[in-house]
Amino acid sequence: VRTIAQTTQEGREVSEGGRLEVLYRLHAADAVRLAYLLTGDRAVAEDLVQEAFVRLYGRFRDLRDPGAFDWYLRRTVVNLVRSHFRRARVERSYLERHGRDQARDAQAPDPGPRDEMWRALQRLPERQRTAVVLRYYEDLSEARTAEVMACPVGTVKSLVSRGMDRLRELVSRGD
Amino acid sequence: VTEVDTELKEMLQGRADAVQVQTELPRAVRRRARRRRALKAGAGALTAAAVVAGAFVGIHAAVDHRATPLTTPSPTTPATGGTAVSPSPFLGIWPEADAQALEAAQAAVDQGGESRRLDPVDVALQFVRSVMGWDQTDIEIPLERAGSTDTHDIVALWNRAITARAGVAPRDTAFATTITLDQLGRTGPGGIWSVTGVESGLIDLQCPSPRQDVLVVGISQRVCGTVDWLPRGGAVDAALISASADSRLEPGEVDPWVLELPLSAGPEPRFSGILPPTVVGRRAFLVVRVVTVPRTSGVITPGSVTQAMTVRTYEVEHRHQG
Repeated sequence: VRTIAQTTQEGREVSEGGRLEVLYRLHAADAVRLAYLLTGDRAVAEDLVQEAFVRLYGRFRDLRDPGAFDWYLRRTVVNLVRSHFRRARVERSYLERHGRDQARDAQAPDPGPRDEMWRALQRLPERQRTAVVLRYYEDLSEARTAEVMACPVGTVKSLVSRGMDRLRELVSRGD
Repeated sequence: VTEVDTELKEMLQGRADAVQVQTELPRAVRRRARRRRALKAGAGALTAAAVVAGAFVGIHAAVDHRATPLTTPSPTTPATGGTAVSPSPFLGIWPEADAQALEAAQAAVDQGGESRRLDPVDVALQFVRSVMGWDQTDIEIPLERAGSTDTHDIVALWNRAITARAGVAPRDTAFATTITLDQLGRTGPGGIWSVTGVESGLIDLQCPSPRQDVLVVGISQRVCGTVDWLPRGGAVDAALISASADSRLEPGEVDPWVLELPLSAGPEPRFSGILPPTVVGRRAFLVVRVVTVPRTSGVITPGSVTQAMTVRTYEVEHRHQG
């Protein structure tokens, strides 16, 4: 198993233009998976990750820590997800008033065995969902999660705690 | 660790594992990344140049200041130079562009005229029909709509003929024309609605910067950006229109202020041009459109259909000559 440091070092060894391709090949899949868990929408996740790479490309020269790219990418994805939901709020407010939820239409029903938990996760407020995914999927510590979310550790504890309480409630109710 | 914790972890892992990702870098991403870097480099060079120029001017001013007595006015109290900006500009874009016209329209509705002005969706529909030239039968109308009682509304509309031509879903987000409406005078059920914003998902208007809200009389305005889709035979045009009682946004007038913008080739065409400093009055609209153009000598003529439109509103600043 190659470490992020090794793979990023490989990225350093090729030309700068090629670095983008190397880093994309190494990190895009994991970033899309994270964005998908945060947004619940595969297409949106891919768009956001591509945007994250576009934004990070200009900062390659600043990466002194070999492991920094992965951290920056994760943080950029989380920020872009947040912006995405902020923008979507206007559209959602319009669609709700017009009795049509396009976002729901776009998500194909998934007959998987853990649907109930997935639906419950999607019903969490965006910040709670982000904290829960970073802790339970990315296995980040509370301190690291706080760094990625740019908030105090206490806020992360609170978000995760409230998020998990809500998940338990939704799953036990079978909503 | 509870059962829910375990189930959550397994669910997240299972969902993530099911996502298959093409790890080949898309060409569009490479292109956008390079363009962004080039733009940032250009902005950095400009900033550096501005800093050097500012330092030079500062040193020069300090030398002059020592050489001459204090005869120039304070920058905060301009006597021969300065700005005159309206303190509370009217916000409407259409159908009225000033408060007097709005009052007259409200009075007309009170007397039984044009009741469609009382419904924001109707006003939005009127806008896309009259201003953008959309056919009623092509408009993707919101199917269900709860009554709105507040003074602000956002209506997204699509043109089925355009989405069909582009081969996208009838409500593709990028093809939405989002119209913002407000009750600018009387509020509540008897108040008329006005269009206060128009934004197309197809037009990424990059300059003027979204942060800019003032146009200076006498200074040409650069307009640039990209379009996500262009119909065959389509063009991008732009106009600076002074807001006044008789300013209309409809195509079909003989519009000497409309400038067709040159487009770069490629899947995401870039437009760029300089609009002449023709604005007068206190407010102006910048209109950028994607149009199909039966046109003569660069002037949009009757019969054109606006495929997409973005309108920004600016205060007009008059800098007095000293």
